[in-house]
Amino acid sequence: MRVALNDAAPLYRDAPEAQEVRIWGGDIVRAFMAEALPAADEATRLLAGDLIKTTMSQVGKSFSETPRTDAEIATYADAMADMFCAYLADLARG
Amino acid sequence: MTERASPRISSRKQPRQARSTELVAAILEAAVQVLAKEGAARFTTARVAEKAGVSVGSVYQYFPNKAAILFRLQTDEWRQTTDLLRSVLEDAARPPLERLRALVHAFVRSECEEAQMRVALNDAAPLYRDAPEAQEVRIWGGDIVRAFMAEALTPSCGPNARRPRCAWR
Repeated sequence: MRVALNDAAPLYRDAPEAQEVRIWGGDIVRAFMAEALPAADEATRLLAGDLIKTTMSQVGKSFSETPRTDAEIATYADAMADMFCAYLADLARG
Repeated sequence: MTERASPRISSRKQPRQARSTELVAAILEAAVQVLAKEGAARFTTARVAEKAGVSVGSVYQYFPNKAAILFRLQTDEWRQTTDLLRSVLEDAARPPLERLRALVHAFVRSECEEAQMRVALNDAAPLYRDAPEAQEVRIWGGDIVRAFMAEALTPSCGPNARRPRCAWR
């Protein structure tokens, strides 16, 4: 359904109503990044938040296009989380 | 209030009664099925009404056009994702990285569940995934990435280490 919705996106994408919803939890991610990276500057947090959000949504979309077992989902999600955690731990060290 | 020039795509009126809520839910459920089965190109208000077992007029009562229905499906999905983000990331009782891990799990799972529904509904989907052409494209530099990973995760970096500290850092 997501794919079909995407195909239909030109029908509604530029409506004012769509712009409002598009922010996709920007404040939530920003607040989380401030907690996760208390010593980092704002630019670093914004970049990290955006990168994690984009990676998660694109990888999730691509991964879900093939049927997956629960075990495969857990393994894949853990690996992606390892990646993010290593990245954030590295940034936190400065 | 003056009429706007651009067509409205938000829902025409807010349902105030349980009966209206049920009707809207039935329309949206039918829309999901029509979209999955017919695809975006053949998605029409008439097909949605037929699938929902209601009159076209009833659909127009809540959605001025088909774009409004599609937009509602999309915003519902955005909203679900935002709710998921909020409930997991704002859980101050857990350390941040643990929250992030929980979010990744929940997100990937929800993506897969949604895709499963799409696949289940979409009887007429072209089976491009298993076509030989798709297999060819799929290898997409697999050997190159594999070779790089063998180098990146050498014993000094610790292939089983949780966080490999690599020589070049």
